[in-house]
Amino acid sequence: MLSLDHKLLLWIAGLAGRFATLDWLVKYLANDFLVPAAMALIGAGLWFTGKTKDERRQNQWGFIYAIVGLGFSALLVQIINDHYFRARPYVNFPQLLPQVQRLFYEPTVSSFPSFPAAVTFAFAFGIWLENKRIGGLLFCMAALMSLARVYIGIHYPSDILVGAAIGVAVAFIFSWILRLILKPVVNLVLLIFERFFLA
Amino acid sequence: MAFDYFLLIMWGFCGVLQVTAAYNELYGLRIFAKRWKGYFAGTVITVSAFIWFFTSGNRTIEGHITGVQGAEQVGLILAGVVVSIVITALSVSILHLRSKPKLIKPGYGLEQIRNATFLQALFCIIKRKD
Repeated sequence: MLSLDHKLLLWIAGLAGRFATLDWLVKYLANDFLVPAAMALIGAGLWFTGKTKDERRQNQWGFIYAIVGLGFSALLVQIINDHYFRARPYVNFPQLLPQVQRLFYEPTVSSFPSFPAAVTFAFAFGIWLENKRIGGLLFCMAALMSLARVYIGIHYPSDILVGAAIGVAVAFIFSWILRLILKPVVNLVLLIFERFFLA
Repeated sequence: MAFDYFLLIMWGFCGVLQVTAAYNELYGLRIFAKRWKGYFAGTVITVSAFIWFFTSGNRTIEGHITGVQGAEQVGLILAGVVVSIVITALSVSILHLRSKPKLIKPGYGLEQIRNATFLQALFCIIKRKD
């Protein structure tokens, strides 16, 4: 009997090939570069945004949380992937292979936990801590990218859920460390940026 | 591929900077005086960067083949953003080289470039030290 994870995967991935426009859209959403680049540009743009100095400083703190959260969640997922290997869904379900070859490539690294889900959710959460509106938008982008990867058949839903949970947890822990322990260091970095008229 | 990705970020962020500069009224980063022109040009620049990137080659290739994996991607993004800021700040400073800055007090921070270009803000500090 198939687990809920497998059932969900087959239901979502089963939609591929039915609607050409949806396939086209998913191909770009799942891409390694589109969503991460778009999220990075939005996050970096936020650095300069704010009607007042305090509002802008809040956004800058959000960007710092996001970058640090992204870095450490990437590191953690990399370590897990090096020690635990889970085959990609199209390996266990060969019927998904044609759509993977058509819409993506055949990834060779471990499926669990999802690296893109961890880093995009960590980034979105870091921004969300200081700017709910833009953070919400970034969460939607991260969710769409993750869903697109299940649709294609390169991730199980559980890969995505655990990856996203790792990203959010790591970003939360490091935002807490930055705020309570490393605040003077962050303020020093911001002061250096200020000297160059950049903060 | 790595250089293409760097170009995407650099080019794309030039557009984002125009939108944010127009929205936040940051004179030192604004190429266009009118706000709507900043929004329009910024959007066109950013969208064109993505269109160029995705139409100029196959971008659906695994990271270890292209050389652009997670860590490299973060490095390229940061490098692209920094170069983009430098290019925009210098371009705007040169563009407004002959215009007189609004009266600004010598100081530091982004607030300084609300009314002056980066070079004008820099000269303001140098003059004060003289």
